[in-house]
Amino acid sequence: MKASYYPGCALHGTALEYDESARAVARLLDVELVELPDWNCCGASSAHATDEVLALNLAVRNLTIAGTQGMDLIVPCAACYSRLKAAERKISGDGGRDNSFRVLNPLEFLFLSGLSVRLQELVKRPLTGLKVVCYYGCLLVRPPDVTGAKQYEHPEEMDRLIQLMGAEPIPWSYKTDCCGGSLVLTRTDIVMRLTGKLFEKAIEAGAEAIVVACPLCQSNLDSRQEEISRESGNHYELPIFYFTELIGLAMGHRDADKWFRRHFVDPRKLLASKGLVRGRSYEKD
Amino acid sequence: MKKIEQQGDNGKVGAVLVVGGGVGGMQAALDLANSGFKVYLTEEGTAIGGRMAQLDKTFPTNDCAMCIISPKLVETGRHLNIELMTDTEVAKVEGKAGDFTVTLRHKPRYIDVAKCTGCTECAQVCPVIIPNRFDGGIATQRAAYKLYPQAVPNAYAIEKKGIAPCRHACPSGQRAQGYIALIRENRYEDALRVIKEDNPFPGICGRICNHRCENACNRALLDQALDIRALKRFVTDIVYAKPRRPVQAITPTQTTRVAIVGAGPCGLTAAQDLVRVGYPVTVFEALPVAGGMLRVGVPEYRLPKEIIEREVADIVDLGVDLRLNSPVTNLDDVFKQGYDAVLIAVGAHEGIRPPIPGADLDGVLINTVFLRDVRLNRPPELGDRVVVIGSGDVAMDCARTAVRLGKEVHVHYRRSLNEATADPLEIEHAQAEGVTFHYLSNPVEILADGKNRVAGIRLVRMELGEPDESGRRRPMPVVGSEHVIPCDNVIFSVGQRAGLGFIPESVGVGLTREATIAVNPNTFAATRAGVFAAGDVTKGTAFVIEAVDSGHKAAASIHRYLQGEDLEPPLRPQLPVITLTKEEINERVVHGEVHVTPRVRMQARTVEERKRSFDEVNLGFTDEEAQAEAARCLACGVCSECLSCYYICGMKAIDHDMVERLEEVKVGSIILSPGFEVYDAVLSQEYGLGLYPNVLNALQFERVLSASGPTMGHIERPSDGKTPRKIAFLQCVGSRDSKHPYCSSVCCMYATKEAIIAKEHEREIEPTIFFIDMRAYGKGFDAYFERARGEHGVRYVRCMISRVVEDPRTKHLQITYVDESGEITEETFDMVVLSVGMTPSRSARELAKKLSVDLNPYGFAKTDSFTPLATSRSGIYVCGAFQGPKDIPETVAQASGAAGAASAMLSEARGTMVAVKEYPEQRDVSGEVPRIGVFVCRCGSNIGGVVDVPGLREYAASLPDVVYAEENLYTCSQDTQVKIRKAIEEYRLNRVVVASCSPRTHEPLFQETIREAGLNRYLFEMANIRDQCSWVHMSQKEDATLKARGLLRMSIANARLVRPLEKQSKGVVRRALVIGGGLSGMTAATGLAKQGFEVFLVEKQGELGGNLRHLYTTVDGKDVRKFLQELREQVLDDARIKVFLNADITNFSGYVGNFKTTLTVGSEAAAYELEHGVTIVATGGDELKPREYLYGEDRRVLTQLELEKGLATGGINTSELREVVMVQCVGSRNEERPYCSRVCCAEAVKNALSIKALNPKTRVIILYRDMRMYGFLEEHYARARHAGVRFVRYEETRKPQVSAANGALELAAYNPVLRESVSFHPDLLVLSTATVPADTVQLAATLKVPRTTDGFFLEAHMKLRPVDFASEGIYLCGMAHSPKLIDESLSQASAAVSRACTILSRETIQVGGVVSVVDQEKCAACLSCVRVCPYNVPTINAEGAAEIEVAKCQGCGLCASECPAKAITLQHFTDEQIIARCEAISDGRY
Repeated sequence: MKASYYPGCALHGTALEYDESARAVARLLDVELVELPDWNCCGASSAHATDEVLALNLAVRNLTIAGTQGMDLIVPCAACYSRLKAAERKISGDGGRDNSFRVLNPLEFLFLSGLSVRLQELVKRPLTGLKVVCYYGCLLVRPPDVTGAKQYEHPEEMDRLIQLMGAEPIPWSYKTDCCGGSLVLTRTDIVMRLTGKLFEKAIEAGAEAIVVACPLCQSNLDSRQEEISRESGNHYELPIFYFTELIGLAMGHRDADKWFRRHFVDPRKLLASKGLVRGRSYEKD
Repeated sequence: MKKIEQQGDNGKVGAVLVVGGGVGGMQAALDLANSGFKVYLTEEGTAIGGRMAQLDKTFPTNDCAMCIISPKLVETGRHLNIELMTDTEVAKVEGKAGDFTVTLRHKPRYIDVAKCTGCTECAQVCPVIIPNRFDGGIATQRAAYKLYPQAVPNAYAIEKKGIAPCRHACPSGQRAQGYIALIRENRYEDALRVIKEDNPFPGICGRICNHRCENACNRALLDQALDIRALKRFVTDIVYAKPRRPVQAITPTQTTRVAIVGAGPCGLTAAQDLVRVGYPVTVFEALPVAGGMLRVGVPEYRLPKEIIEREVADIVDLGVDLRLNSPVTNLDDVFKQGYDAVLIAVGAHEGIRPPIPGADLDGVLINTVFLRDVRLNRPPELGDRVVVIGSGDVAMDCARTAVRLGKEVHVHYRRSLNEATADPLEIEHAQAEGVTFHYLSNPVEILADGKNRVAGIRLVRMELGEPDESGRRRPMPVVGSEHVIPCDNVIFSVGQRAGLGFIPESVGVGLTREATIAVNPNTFAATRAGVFAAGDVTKGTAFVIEAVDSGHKAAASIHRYLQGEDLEPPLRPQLPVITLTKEEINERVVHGEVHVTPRVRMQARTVEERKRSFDEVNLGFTDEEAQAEAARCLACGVCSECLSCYYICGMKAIDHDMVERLEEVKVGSIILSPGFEVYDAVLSQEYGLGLYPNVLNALQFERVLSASGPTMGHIERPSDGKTPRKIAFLQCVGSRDSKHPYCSSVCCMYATKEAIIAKEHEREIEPTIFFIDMRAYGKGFDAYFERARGEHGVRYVRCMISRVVEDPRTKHLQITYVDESGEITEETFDMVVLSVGMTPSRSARELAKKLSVDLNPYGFAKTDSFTPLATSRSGIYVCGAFQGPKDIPETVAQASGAAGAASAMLSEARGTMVAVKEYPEQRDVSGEVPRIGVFVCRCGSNIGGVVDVPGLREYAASLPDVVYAEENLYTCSQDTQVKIRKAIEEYRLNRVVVASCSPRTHEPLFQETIREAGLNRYLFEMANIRDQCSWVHMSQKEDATLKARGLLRMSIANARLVRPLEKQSKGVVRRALVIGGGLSGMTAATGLAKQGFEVFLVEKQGELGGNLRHLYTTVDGKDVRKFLQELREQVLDDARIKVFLNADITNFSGYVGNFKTTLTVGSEAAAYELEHGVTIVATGGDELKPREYLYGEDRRVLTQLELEKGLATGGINTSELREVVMVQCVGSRNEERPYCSRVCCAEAVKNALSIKALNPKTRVIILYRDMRMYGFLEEHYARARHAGVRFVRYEETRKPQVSAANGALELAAYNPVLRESVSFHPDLLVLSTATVPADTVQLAATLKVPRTTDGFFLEAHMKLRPVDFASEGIYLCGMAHSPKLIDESLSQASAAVSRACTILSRETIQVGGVVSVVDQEKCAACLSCVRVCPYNVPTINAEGAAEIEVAKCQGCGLCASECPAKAITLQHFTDEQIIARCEAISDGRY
């Protein structure tokens, strides 16, 4: 199976481990990811807030290139996904557009292509004993008019994948709350409050880690824990995984350790305590 | 029974179809049937009762819903002229008003309603558990079920969606879902029975079946298919571990004989089936053992010998003559031995030796021979290195067998792993045991060692090319890749075929090109008559389960052949196969019904153990594993046809072969009453219904509150069973939102009710209702709401809630809202109840489509304000929630109204299609000593399993005056009714006592029976030894028997004293009096006239029209003036209506059917004496003229009606209007008038919109407390907001203040949202003043009918008799009842007509029976009875003694119990009888 792949800026930069783990999982599933040739910025974060025409055209250019490829377009970054879906929806209304491909986030891709079943067969090392909450954030499923998601308040796909990997996804009410990702630079006070609440609720639910499918959520949640701990007086040390990392780990991918090393909160300590990575001390690398 | 079927005049049909058996449908049906029409009442469910039956209590009276609906259920179910059709939908309607032809579709119920006694036994044994639909899915039910205990018809039904895919995929149709369900119930013997229904080899198939069931399993869409095979094996493991019970041999009953050649699975299956139907059967087997390929082809480590022997013995012991070591060498010989039919089922035991060089060398083996020799303990000599060619299941058997013989084994296969046909688990096991696999490797030659023994094998590598005819890619040799490997043995395993040497061409049995026997695939008949063939011998190698299937079919075919029937099997109806989609499974996940749970993996022996012995590899499931695996079943078909119900049912009422049936009926009119569905709040994901266990919808909570609900009325949190303390009710879920832009009308009140009832159940509960507007607009609603808030302490918070969040540890629910002070507050609740709105059901929408009836934009039936009950298609009427969201009384009123409309249209055909029952003459039993017959019911095992019924019967026979006693399996069954009638004749019984269930459901049936036998109905008595005895004392059998004796003694003691009672016939004056000439009165008068009855219409004013004269338009823009004009003309033009204007009623007397009214008209001195059979009160109401807000002091202050008039006539020039302020609730909802006037919100919005239409620049402000724009009025409220009308709330405690300083009006109002005062300077101040009832103090006293404290008339029952007075024959409608809008008054007026027609359509009425009678000698005229009678019946007559009019008495007995002189007796419940009962129970002789 082949599919187009739009990494966006994050997966080429801050979220390298998302990119690598996504590609690794694809290889294990026999899916060839073809990076969209000559792709450009999706327009998230600033363009769509300042210039509607520019924002639309940035996305449309990418969609046009994808049309020439004739394969489903996988967009791992939730922000990029949202922009491209919004543009797709807008232009498909005009009629006459090429609908030969779908814009999908990796979760949709796995379920729509039936690969989720195959995934289970490839599990080599079930993530038994790992308790997590899945966090979808705001853009992966919402607004439903754009994403077409049916369960936009309580999405399930990530939870089901994680369960198939042998870990225990704990249901919680904050799957689609906002982490404040778009206010990172302008209103850090709000971001601190929103992410702080997510940590609190995740721990309340009994989770040992949070699983995400968005580079903005990941960096926001991963990088702020020390600061929030300092200010709130609580000690937060919650690993923030990309779901692809956990799939890769369960399939026994040898690069998993490399991905985990890039995290602010090192997940290897938790994983070692579950016997999921080789047990050595990860106190300070 | 006499039935006259003829069409009325004008070709109109005197029958009506009522669709929907809820409270509306029942009411319409009863009204019609009671006024001379035949009714077909269809209900798509299995019982009538509708939504109301699900409710716990009803508002605002807190009556028990079931208690008040139950009598209606019984009446509907037993009515001679209502043909009740459950499980029925309308398929098609043709024709026109007056003469429709309706095609009905009766769906199979699988239980014959006529035979079912409702005894519960089928449900007790049904293993299939599904969410209980009556309880909204919060509890479970069985696939065999009765909708609810009081259901009518009192019969069970089976829910069957179709065939589960597992069963469909199985060649033999194994009911996998059924035995899985039984495993879950720990009923292993039953599970085995279910497997054996279709397959005599459960232990075998539980091990080696190729399980197509699993490949078809819907569960694979969620996680993995169920391990069905392992579950099957588990059942046999458990049952076979117990000592085997000997099988009873069957004595042959047939004279023809059958021979079967081959004792494999096919032959033995056929032998079993044929022996069971009575044939002598001989099985000839060539081998020394039975079981065929199972026994000699499958290795021991996969299928232990004991299992085969056991299952073969179970068949042979039925009486099969099995002859081992008896090869058939010539088929003709068999016929010569006198067999009439022969089945050839010799299997395919000959392996195939491919024609390659060296294939004949020593050491080359053939799979079947090799396996057989090992299995029969004569293993061949093998060298160290064995090569197996092939990769099917048999190849795996060969390879793994060779491993166990201690050899090094290599498998060579010419294709790749993907194409290998063996079970993947077999390949996995073989690999684990050390077998080496070489794919894409094909032998070309076997090399010899010089002694003609195998020394090696030459192979060629292959590659895959294009797909071949089998769909698999064709292997092609790779040139130059030949190579040799050394080996000692080669085992070919490339296929098997039958050995057919015993069938020479001369015997006349044709073969196919593939060397199998040619047979007709349907009949298994070979080309020679009497010869049949089945199994591998006809198809080539297949699996056991296919052999079993062909064995069954061949046996059936042979049976038909020997019986001389047509050989082709009869066609059976096919149910749909239930293949679930991903979406459907996801929906179940979302609703929390299914969770992702991987398959349980069966334990196996370690590889080391396996290599050493032939012990069975797979170890089977443990109890826990089997339970876990069985629990994964999705029960796709719902009913699995496990037949548990079929075997238990003593009435033989179960019929799994029922099919859908079409029926045509002729009707003159159709009434649609399909009801509503509650909004599926799972769609409002933000509230977490289905996800958070402690979030319920209101209907589910209603069931929680109900004593008959899943928690028996205990309020428990689903998550932990604890009593919740804080409960939040969230209003407007699925109402007043973008997808449902209407108000559901009832939720404010039902939430209030549920909050009150919850508090009544558990004092410590603290309910909070979060709402937008409190819409308590109905009669008595506001008082109810105030009581909830005041007396009961229900907290109301005005805030729409946007989401519910769950604490994952405690399962508490957090809600964020803006509190009174404007602060954002987060509060935690133990439980959340969603007040879900009403939506039209999907089936109702489809119905409308089929009937070409238009729907409104929201999917409800489209109606018009002036014809609220008529659909867009002439002759088809609508009532209830399908017309628009509404509560019970409005539904009932509309139902009667629709019945009135239908019967008006068909009045010429009245009485043409009704049946009248004729009875034999009554036997005079006076002067006879009591001769009592007692019938004791076992009710299947319901009574019989607890109470000693034979002992009870004997005991009954010993009691005084009992001359006959018998026991019955079901006393209520039809055959027992015949027995009772016979016994009455034979033993000259004059009293009958039945000891069984409840008189509530069954007394009328038995009364009918004895009446048919010539006995008076009242000579019957019933003892309730089931509901009140065996059911409640299930575990105390002896005490239960004692109690049953006591109950029966009491009944017999009473029966000795019962006397026949006769009803009297009284003539009916078929004429009506209508009091009030407004909208309702005129509508009632014309309605009655259309039905053909004369009417006196009495109006106290000098003009007809009432309030309608002051209205100009309706809120939806209809012309009221024109409508009034037409209505008035109709009244005046109709010769049957006599109008009295300026008339006063001065006297009123008589009773139903015979009233006398005295009128004085204007200044005329003479009084009119009117005689009439019924009376309709339609006295209306008026707009209040207030004494506040400067009304009457400042000409700029108006009422709404004055404004409407000014706007309509041009008296008010809107172009000059800058600002208009309206104030709601002026004179309503205050201490003086604590009721809501209902119409003023709509009136204000209507006038505001009129102003905005005339001058959009005029600012219009409406000061309100709650905007009560219920139902579809909501859209006008939204329209007003869009038009710029401003709505500003005020609080009752801080009313707006008006002043007129400096010539300008100033209005100051406190705005609770802004929390500050705002002021307005309106050009006009418009007051929405209260609606007050007409002055009816005198009239109420004259008619002796009650009024509410507010001065409106009080109906007989707030819910179910909204237009009846308690006094029979007097009805009310319109604003005399309570304030209402035009369409509501029209519906009620039509309802009053319909109710009146139930009297007027009769020549006579029957009165008396169970009524009170006065012994005038004893009466002291103390007035006790007069005061105590709730119906105002007793009067003191001229002789100074109490008199009770039989026609009015309701038989409640209050007067009899109060009368100090014992002058009053309630017939059939005399003191003597009650005392006899008491003595019977208290003298302890039982």
